Amino acid sequence: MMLKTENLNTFYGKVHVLRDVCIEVEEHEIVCILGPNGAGKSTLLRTLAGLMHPKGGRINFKQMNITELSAEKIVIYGMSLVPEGGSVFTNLPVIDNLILGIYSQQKKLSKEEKTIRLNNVFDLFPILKERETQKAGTLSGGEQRMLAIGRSLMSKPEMLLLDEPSLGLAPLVVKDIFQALQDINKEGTTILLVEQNAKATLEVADRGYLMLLGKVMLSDTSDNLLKREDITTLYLGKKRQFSNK
Amino acid sequence: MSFSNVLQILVGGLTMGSVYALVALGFHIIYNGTRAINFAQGEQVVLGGVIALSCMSTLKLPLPLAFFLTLIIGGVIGYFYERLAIRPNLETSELSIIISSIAVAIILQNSIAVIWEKDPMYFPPFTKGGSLEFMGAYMLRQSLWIMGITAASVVALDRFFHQTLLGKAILASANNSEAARLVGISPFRMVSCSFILSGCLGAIAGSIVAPLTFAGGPLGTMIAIKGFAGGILGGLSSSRGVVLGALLLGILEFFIATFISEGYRDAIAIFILLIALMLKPEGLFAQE
Repeated sequence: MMLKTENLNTFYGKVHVLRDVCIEVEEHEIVCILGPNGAGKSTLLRTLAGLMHPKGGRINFKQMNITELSAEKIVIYGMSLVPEGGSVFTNLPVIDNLILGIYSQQKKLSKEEKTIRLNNVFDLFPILKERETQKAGTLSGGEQRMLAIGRSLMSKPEMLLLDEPSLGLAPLVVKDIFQALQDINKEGTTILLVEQNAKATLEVADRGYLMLLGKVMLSDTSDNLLKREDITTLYLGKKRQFSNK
Repeated sequence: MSFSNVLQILVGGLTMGSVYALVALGFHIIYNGTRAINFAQGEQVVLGGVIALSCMSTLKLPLPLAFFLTLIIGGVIGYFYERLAIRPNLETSELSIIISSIAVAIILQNSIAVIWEKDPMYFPPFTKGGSLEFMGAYMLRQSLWIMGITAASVVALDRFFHQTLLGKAILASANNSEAARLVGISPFRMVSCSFILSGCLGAIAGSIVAPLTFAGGPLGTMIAIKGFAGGILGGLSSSRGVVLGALLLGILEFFIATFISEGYRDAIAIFILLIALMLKPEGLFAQE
């Protein structure tokens, strides 16, 4: 078991956002969390990554209790969050954004290892290589998203968390990013992603959880979830035009 | 106006402008990290002067060693300043940081008056000898030291921020503290580094300007206002901007003092501050 949460309860001030959330992610899986706005999906990822702390419950990552750890520490243990909208360091060049991805491990890494990781990111997203010296703030939305994913990959995480990687991007770019996520997964990284783009997401994910109003309502394999039209319309709104195929 | 006049204004203006530039850089670094203004910056400069003086007169250290020790003590004071007065307010608002910094300024000012003297103390120039003459303009030997050390500090700081991982991490954390935490950067530690740096800059500025202004005394407020005005004029969010703005202010100030009246020397900074805030609040050289 890579990740397991037990009865997570998180509050935003007085607002009870996550209610007894239990999810499990096995090694090498791609798991998605679907649900409408305000379902608590982002809060769940932020709680897992240590940006927020739950009032109750427990998070186990690789059999280790990380519930109380801060975000700065969790990345050292091999879990990295790509936040909503990417959030790159707009004032720094692309290359520095990537280099900062290994900030938590800087002392342990050899120069060769750094170069290998950098090249892996450039192989995955060749456009970043072209933009190497440009300030991240000058990149397009899709490029910034790629940079944010690349920055996370620099720390060579065992588990990658992504908060709506497709949000606001053109369908073609979304296709590239989802393809990249599959490639990353094939290299051995476990992926947990939150999405509103249900159909495209279920096509790459192994399993999915459906959330509504802070609760996990249902979990099943992607194939089964895709078949259930009632659920996709009930929880996920209208079906999207875009398909990944 | 003859060529030697122009040269004289440049030399005189750039001398004090260099000191303002160091102060303005201190403001810039703290502003970048916390979005607050560090009102103790001027007192940190005065502190640098009196510490350097004590290192030389009490500890009998040679000048280079005294300068170096002052730099380190400035950094240490910056560290404790942040730990004790800023850290408890970091998660509240910029306003509480600003008020804390005013409190620290008052504490420093009075501590200096109690530990050293209330009045300014003589500080010997770095090298003895009369003024240098160059194409009709006169320059104090100390001016060369001030400009040289400032230039070296500006270059060193630029390299620190753009070529070291720690420097980049400070910039990253200032840009997006949440994303910085996600790659393992502790924003608290970065703010701490910013205060250490600004403490070092204060110490440098204080020890190089002391031979011209004397050490100690009520210098802090004025030098802080001028550094701040220079910083605002150039653009507080840009490191190049604050340096250029401060140098420009130094030159303007010297020009006014020479050709209009010495009495306006101190007023010009405040005048420029007001004009800059009214017409171009983001600064002349702001990059973003």
